Amino acid sequence: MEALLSLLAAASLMLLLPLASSQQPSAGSRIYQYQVLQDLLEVMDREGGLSEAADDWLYAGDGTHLESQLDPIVAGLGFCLRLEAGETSPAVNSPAECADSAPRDPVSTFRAIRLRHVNATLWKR
Amino acid sequence: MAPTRQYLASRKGRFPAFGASPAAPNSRKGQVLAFDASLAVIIMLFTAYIAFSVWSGIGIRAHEAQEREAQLSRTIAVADYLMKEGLVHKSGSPYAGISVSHSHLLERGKLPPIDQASLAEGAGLAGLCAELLETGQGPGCGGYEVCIRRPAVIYETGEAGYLVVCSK
Repeated sequence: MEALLSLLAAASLMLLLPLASSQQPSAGSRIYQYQVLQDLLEVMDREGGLSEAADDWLYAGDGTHLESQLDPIVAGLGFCLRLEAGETSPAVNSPAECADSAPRDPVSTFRAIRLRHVNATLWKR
Repeated sequence: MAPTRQYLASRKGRFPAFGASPAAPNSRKGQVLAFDASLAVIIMLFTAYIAFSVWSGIGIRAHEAQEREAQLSRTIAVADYLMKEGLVHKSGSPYAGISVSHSHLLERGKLPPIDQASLAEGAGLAGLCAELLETGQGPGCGGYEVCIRRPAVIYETGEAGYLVVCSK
């Protein structure tokens, strides 16, 4: 009985080991994810940039809601993007359903906008 | 004629049925040990088989992952070249002979002149496909193994879009 139990334990360990090791994202996909994040911020800059209103909310450069500009781009990439300008202003999530999901293996970067830092986080949906 | 005591004493031990045999309990014990040992050998062989299967599976998967990773890295490198040099919009500057590259502003018109076959060969890829798509357009470049999308602005339309680079 003990022998069978130890055999079962050894077999399950050996089967779980490759499953656990395959969860790590590869270096190439991390580089690609980081490039996409930088690209998104660059494209936003070219398309009007970010602006900050008196109420601390983040807006697109033309004064429209940032989500309406970001959603078509980010949704087509299969990623989630979150922009945070500080603790007082609410985070911008694109697409909106990403607000409910916890970031999994995210990459982050900072960008300065009018003496304030915006923290941008990107993760796979 | 009755057998003599000496004769019976000489036959004792040769035929255990004819007297108390000391070998009988030892024989049963040996059988039990043999059963345990054979069960242990079967379990050991089964464990070894599982271990070998798992480790060979890990090796095969690691090799496949390495190949995929290499292909992804080459595709990323090609896309990076197109983003920074190959398709980027360049304009003249007041200073003679100097052109200004506009990052993330890509020209659709520069896509056909690029020899994608030689670009693929240079990157060590079997095939390559590059397309500039606007947001909401289809996936583009069908039938390729690895595809990446880089957000960019299309120079001709001024709209946000994607550079799609696929390889095999």
